[in-house]
Amino acid sequence: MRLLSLPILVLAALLAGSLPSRAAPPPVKQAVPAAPPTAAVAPGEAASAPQPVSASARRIYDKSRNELLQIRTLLKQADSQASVGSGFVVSDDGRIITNYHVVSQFALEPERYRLRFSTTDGQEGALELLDIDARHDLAILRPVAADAKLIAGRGALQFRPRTEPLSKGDRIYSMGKPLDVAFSIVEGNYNGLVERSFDPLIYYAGSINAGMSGGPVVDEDGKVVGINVSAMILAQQMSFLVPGPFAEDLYKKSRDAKPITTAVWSRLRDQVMAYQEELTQAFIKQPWRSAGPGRYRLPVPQEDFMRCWGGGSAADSKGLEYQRTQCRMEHALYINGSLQTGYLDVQHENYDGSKLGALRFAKIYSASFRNERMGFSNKVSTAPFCREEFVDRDGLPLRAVVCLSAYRKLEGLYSLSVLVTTVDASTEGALGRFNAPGVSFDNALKLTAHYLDGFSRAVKP
Amino acid sequence: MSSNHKGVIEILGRDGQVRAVFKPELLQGQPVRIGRSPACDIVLDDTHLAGEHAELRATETGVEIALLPSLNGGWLGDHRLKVGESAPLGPEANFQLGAVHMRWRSAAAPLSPEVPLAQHLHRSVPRSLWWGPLLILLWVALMTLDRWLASDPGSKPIDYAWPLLKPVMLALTWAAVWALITQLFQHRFPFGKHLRRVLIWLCVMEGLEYLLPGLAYAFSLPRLGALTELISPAAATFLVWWHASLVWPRARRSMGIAMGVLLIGGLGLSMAQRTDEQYLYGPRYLSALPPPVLRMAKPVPPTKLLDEVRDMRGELDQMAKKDNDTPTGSEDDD
Repeated sequence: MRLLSLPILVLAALLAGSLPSRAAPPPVKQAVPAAPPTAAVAPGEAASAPQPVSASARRIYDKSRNELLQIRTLLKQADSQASVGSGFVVSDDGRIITNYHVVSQFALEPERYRLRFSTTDGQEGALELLDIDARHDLAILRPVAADAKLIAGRGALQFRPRTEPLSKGDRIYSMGKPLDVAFSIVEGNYNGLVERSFDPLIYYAGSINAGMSGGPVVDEDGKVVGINVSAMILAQQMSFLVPGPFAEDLYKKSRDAKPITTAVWSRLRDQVMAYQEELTQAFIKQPWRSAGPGRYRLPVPQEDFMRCWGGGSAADSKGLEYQRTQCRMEHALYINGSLQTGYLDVQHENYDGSKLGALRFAKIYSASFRNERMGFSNKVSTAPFCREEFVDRDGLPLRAVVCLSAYRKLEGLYSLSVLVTTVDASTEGALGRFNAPGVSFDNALKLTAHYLDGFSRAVKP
Repeated sequence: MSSNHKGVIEILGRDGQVRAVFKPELLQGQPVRIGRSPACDIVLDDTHLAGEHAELRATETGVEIALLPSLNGGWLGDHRLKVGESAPLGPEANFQLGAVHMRWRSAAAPLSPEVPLAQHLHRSVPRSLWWGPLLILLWVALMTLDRWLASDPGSKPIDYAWPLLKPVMLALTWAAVWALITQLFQHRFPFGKHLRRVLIWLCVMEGLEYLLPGLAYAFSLPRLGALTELISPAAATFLVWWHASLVWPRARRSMGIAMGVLLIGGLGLSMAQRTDEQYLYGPRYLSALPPPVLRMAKPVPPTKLLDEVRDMRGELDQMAKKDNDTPTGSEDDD
């Protein structure tokens, strides 16, 4: 396929938004200890020119400041921080919730990194990781025994009861320490759940910046409704929160878990494995939608948890006319800085070359087919291994290429890409591509079969 | 007159090649003079020579050289010849007068054997003259087709001008450079011959570009793609060898071996870089989609393809274990 449509790229930035805590602050600020210079300026300004601050934000912050923490990942042997995020205390015995992606460096390389917290009143201590929930990008921590007293007794944020859902427009408050600058509170509005998302994700109309990941978002009563997780770049005030109940579940499940001391690859693998099983089953259960006019019926997924975008050639094109559709899940599982997985992506292009003639069409069709990137061997996964055949789908001949690469550290999980072109007409064709990173081998086969099933000749009306 | 008196004086260039041959008539009592003066029998144009520099004399036993008065004198082999000195030349001898290298070769000296001719030198010129324009036309026609296929309907003829002219100019330059190299070593300029070779090569390559993917598609032979990729470096090597064998015809065999070794070495290196890939050579999948009438292979049911994919698992898992330095399952799950 020759072009990737722009809107999809912009939306995909949602994923990049889950990286903020990793974005290194400007070098100058990095060298400065978290509190003094910045903190010295801020109160000064506040004193000289009193702002009409929101009274409730001040009230909420005062109420939650004891439970609010910064979570720092530091190199084991040095005091330089590799990434910063936020977190909060959820129990009197000092259990702490943050994002998995805030602690992922430690979780995957505990021999190279260590975790530390710092409180709003400048106390610091070491942390232990108890468990992770990669699917919901959550992690639970506790201070090491020696530093437990710094956290215990500070109080705990309560979760808003599940029986009291928020309404669209409700004011909620996000807290954290953006870019390691200063602890802060940001007002915004609850806007319900993100539509067409496989797992629930709260759409928060407020600004979340790098470093706030893992921080709590509370309602007017100071009860936790969600956890800062990501923001859409190139958009204004579009941020996303993990719903509070998932964090509550993780706390209940793992509050007394043994601290993690070795890399969590096998735990991650099990979590992704369970997730892809659920996702694959839900996806295969859905029938394909018909792809509109033309010679073929092409696989277009339901938009229950995928979002579709389309485009095409200019109407006055002298050459090839095409229509393009891309449907993908916009939420992926964050594993580490170089791997996000566990989503589905279905795309196709419909070509009409009647103005070109058979030979010219063959040339451009081949070029389009050749122009597909299949990935390469790297630390994360193997090179793609492919098999290809002419496949018969109810009398419609297809050229199908199935490529799989295996994840090196998530044993038993693969990244699947299926390329399909129709080869029945001399001046018409369709080129489809299906990507499913992070699936088991069996599910890769099932998904391939399901995808191939979606191709057939259009039924003449 | 004995055969010792019959012989030639060859004037040698710096490269040892013979530049001129004189056949002096050596009779006893009638010396043959060598020098710059028009009065000499062998007149040489070298300012390091005296007007009458030396003379050749027929003696009882053969021919001897005697140096007449001069500033620079001469050498017989490595032996310095002084003014007034004379020395026998024997059946064959190299000597120098002034700055001129010469060789005396008498009829008594053994002849080196006749060397077989590397190629016919005369007929090739008219033949390449015939083939040249025809080949250029064929090649340009193939390129025009290529260009036509890649353009939208209604593109202007002028759009073809540069894409066609540029390669033609390049091919002419290529042939000219090879002809110049030939000129350097063989003192001839076989432009037409080199041009013919590169044109034949270009036409064949252009044809293969369509033929091989077409065959791969027709019979569903994706690994033919690897052949296509192997052919390009092999063909490039062959072309260089083909041109070079015109320049150094006697070394064509050794050049062939040397270039073959280089080619195999290069291919080996590029394969060694791809040990992480499914295939050591060639594209990941067959991407040619010529018109469907060419398809001969019967489509298979999807389950057959899935079976093939299933068979790939062991290979893939093994590849995943390579380089996986973190032992999995080390974490004690609770």
